Amino acid sequence: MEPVAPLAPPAFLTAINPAQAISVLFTVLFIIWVIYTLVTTYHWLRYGHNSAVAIPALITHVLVSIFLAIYAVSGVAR
Amino acid sequence: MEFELEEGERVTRTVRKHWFVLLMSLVPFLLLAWVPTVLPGFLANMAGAQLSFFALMTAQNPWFRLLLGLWWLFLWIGAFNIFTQYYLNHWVITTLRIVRIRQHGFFNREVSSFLLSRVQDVSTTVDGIFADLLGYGSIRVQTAGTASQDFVMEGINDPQGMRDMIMGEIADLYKKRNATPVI
Repeated sequence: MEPVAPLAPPAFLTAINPAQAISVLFTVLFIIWVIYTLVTTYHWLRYGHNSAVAIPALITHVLVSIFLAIYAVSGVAR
Repeated sequence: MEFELEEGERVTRTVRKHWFVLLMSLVPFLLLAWVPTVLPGFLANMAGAQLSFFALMTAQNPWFRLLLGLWWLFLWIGAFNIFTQYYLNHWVITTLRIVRIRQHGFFNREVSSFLLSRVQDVSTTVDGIFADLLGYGSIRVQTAGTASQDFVMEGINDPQGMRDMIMGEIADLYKKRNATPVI
């Protein structure tokens, strides 16, 4: 019976720098978030009938999103 | 604005769904946000020492916090999307017509209007304990003519009040025209 070899991750995984991977992940997510926010803003401002709710709603969306993003990276971004 | 008001026409009321209907739509998001905060602890207790992996899933672990923060961000965007849909879907009642604006999704919008003079029947339904206590329900407006259509809006605040208001507007319209509605 052959000795059991320790489990080693594939070579391509060991070559990935975790810090770089997170940077790339956040850049992609940020781009998606910006596109979503622009599309939502367009709809609120164009079809919101000049409502007083539109601007506070958009500000809340941005502030809560920023807070959650900061919370997400607060542990790893050191 | 999606439609132009005619001369002498004014907006009487803008109607959206009841806030409770919005709240009920947001409940799944609240539950999904809460689950990751309790599930790891529950599973760690269930699994005991066999799966110590669950014990690492706390807010003190930066990787777990990263995933949790991204999960909450994802849910927040979903919830905000629900609110956007709630706000942009509405009926505008004017002195001449009813305009129904439906936002099916981004860049997918349907605006339809029908004259009050074509309204044949307005009926309301209040179904359920919460609907009865909080005063919301659905309204169905049936139009006359060869291409008669039913316009339905569900979960609106005070459907009976809205029905009375529509009927009042129709009566006013016919008074102005010095004619009698045939209903």
